Amino acid sequence: MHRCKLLIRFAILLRKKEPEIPMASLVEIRGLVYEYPRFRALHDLSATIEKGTITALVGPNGAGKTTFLRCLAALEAPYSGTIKLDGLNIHSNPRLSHTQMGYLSDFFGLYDGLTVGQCLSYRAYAQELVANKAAEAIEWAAGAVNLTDRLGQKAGELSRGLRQRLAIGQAIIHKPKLLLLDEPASGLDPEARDDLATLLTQLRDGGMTIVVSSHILAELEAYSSHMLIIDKGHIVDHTVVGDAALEPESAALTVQLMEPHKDFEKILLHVAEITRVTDTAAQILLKGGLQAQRDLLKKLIEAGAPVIFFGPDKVNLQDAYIERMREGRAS
Amino acid sequence: MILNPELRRNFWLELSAQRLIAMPVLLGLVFWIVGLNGGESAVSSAALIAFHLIVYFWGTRRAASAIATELNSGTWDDQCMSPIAAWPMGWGKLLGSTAYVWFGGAICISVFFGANLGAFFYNGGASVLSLAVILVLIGLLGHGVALALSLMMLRKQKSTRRVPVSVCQIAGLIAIYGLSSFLFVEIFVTSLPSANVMENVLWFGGSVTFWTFTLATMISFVGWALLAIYRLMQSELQYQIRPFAWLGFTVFLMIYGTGLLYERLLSNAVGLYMWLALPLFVAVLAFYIAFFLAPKNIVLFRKWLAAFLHQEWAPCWRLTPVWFQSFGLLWLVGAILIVMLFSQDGPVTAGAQFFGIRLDEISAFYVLAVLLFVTRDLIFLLWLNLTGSKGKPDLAGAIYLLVLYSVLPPLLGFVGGASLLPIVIPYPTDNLLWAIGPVSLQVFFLVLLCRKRWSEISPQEPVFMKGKV
Repeated sequence: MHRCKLLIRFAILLRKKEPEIPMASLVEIRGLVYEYPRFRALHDLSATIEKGTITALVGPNGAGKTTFLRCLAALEAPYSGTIKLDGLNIHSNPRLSHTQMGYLSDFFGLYDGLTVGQCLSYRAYAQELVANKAAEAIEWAAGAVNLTDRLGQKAGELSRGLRQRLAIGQAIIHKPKLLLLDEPASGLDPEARDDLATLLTQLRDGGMTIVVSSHILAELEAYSSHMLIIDKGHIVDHTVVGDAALEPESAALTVQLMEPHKDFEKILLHVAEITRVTDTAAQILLKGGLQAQRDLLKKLIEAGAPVIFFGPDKVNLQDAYIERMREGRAS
Repeated sequence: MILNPELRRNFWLELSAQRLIAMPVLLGLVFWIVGLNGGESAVSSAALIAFHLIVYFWGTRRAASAIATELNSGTWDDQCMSPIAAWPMGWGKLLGSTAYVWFGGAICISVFFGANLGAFFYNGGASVLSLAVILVLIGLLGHGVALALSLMMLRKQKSTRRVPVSVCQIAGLIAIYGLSSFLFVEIFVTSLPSANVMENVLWFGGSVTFWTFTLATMISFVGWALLAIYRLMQSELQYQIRPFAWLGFTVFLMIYGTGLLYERLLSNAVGLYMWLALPLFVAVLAFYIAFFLAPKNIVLFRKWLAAFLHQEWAPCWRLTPVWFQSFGLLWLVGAILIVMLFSQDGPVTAGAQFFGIRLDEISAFYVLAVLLFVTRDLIFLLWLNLTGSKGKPDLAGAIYLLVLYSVLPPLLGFVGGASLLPIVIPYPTDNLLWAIGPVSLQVFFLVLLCRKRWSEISPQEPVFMKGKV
C-alpha cells in the first residue's frame, strides 16, 4: 500500500520532468563515450545540468558514476563526445575549466602534517589567489565549512566529519561554478551527514551548481533537486525530484483522517489535485502557498473531518530509484 | 616569501623545527665520534659517506616517493586540478620532496670541505668549487631521474595508479652510480681530485679540460632530467603537448657518445659510415626503453588510429606514442647506415671491434636484419599487450626476449645448430635470404596474429569521433 502510494507519487513527479521556469544550463554533455581497455564504461551519454541545482548522481556499484564524475572534472579524457562548462569545452581546455570547478573524490586526501590553515592556504595559493585575496578566500572557506575555530589544528587530528568539511573547504576555496562530490557522505555519522546536507544547501543557495554521487539515497533526499540515474554506463533517467519538481507556490501534502468522512474527497477536489485517495488518507498537490494550506485545513475541520495529520508529502528517493532502475532494465 | 605553493607546502611538511634541530645534532654527534678516533681524514670520509647516504640513497627515495605519496594520500587529483603550472609543480616537487635531504647534504659537504681545506687549496679553488657543483649535480640528476621515472610509471600504470617507488629509486641510483661513476670514477674512489682526474678529455678530437667536460656533461644530463620532469608533468596536468623530448634526448646521446668514441674509431681507421654504428645502437636502446616505459593502452591506440583516419593531424601527432617515433628514428639511422655500407669500397680494417661485434663483419644485410628483429620484437610485444592478460605483458615480453637473445643462441651452438642462428638473432652473413628471410617470416606471422587480436578486442558497436578528444 505504502509502496503503491510512493510509485504513484513518483509518477506525478516524472510527469513534471521539465521545470516550469526555464533555467540556464551550466553543463552540456553530448555523446559522451568513455572506454577502458576491456570495456566501454559510458555509452553515448547526453545530459544537461542547470545552474544552481544539486544533481544526485545515482546508480549501482560499477555503473560508471565515478568515471562519469572524473570525465566531468576533466580528469579523464573521453573516447569521444563533448562536455561544455558554461560554453567551454572542458576536454579541449582542461586547465581553464579546472579554475571553474571543484572536485572531491571518494578517496579524498589531506596533508595530515599541515594545519587546517596551512591546508587552506596551500589551496588558495595553488589557485593563484594572492595576498589579500588568498586571506579572504581562506577566511570565507573556513567559515563556509565551519572550521574557523580550528585553523591551527593539524588535519591529521580531525575527525572524519571535520576532515570531510576541510576537503570541501579546499575544493570550494576558489568559489567554483561547479562542485563535483563523489560519495561525500560515506563514513559520516548521522550528525555529520546532516551538517553536510546543510552545507551543500548553503552552497547551492550561494549560486554553486553541485553534482553529488552516492549510492545511499537517503542522504541525497535532503538536498537534491535533480536525480541522474546511471546503470551500466547508460543514463536510465534524469529527472527533477522533491520540491523542485513542483510549480512555485505548490506543495505536495498528505492528509490523514482518524475515520472516514463523507465529504473528504469532495473538499479536496474543490481546491487541490488529488494524486491518491482512500477513505481516510490522501496525497494532494495544492497551489497557493501557505494561505491555501491554512484555508484547506480550516475547511476540513469546519466540515467535521477528523484530521489527525496534515503535512508535506515527501517522496522516497530510494523507492523511486529502484522502480526506475527496474523499468530501465526491463525496457 | 616563496611564490611556488608546491615548494612552500613541501617546506611546511619537511622542514619542521624538530627536524631542523635533529639533523645537525645527529650528524654533529657522528662526526665528533669519528673525529675522536680517526682525525680529519676520518671525518672527511665520514662526511662523504654521509653525503652519499643522505643525498643519494635517501634523496632518490624521497624523490621517487613524491608522486606515490600524493597518490596514496589521495591528493594527486587535487594537484592535477590546481592551476599550478607544470614547471613550478615539477621543480617544487623535485626540490621540495628532497628539501630535508639537501639540508643534511649541505651539512655533510660543508664538513667534507672543512676537513680538506689544505688539499683543496693545493689543487686550486676552481676545482674545489667544481667538485662541489658536480656532487650537487649528481644528486640532482639522481633525484631527477627517480622523479621522472615515477611520472612515467604513473602514466604507464594509469589504471592501477601505482608507482613502484623502489624501481624508481634504483633508476635514480643507477643514474648516480652508473653514469656518474663511469665518467667520474675518481670522485667516488679517491674522494678528491687527483692528477689523473685533471687530464683533458677528447671530444670529437677537441681537447677539453676535465672539469669543463664533466661540468658540461652533468649540466646537460641534469638539464635533460629536468626537461623530462617538465614534459611528463605537462602531460599529467593535461597540457596538450607534442612529444619530441625523447627524440631530442636520443639524438643528444648519439652525438655525445660518438664524440667520446671519435678517437677510438679514428685510430681503428674505420670508415665514416661506421660512426653510425653507435647511433644505431643508441637508437635500438632508446626504442626498447621507450617501449617498455610507455603505456600500451588499446583505447589510446584506437584514438590515435581514429585521429589518423579522420586526418586530424594535431591530435594524431599528440597521440603518437614515443616508442613509435623512436622506432621511426631507428629505421632512419639504419637506412642511412645501409646506404653507406652498400656504397663502401672494400672491407673495413679487419679485427676492429665495436661492442663486441667485429666491424668488418657488419654488412648492409646485417643492419637490415637488426632492424627486422627489432620490428619483430615490437610486434611481438604489442601482441602480448593486446592479449588482455591481467598480468604484466611487458615483464613477460622482456623475459621472452631475454631467453630468445641470450639463452637460445648458445644452446643452438652447443647442439651444433649454429647455422640456424639467423632465425633467433641478427647474424652477420653475406646471404641476403638467410639474413632476413627467417625474421621476415616471423614478422609476417606476428602481424597476422596482432591483426586478429586487434579485431577480437575492438568494440562491436562503432564509435565515431564526435568531438575532439
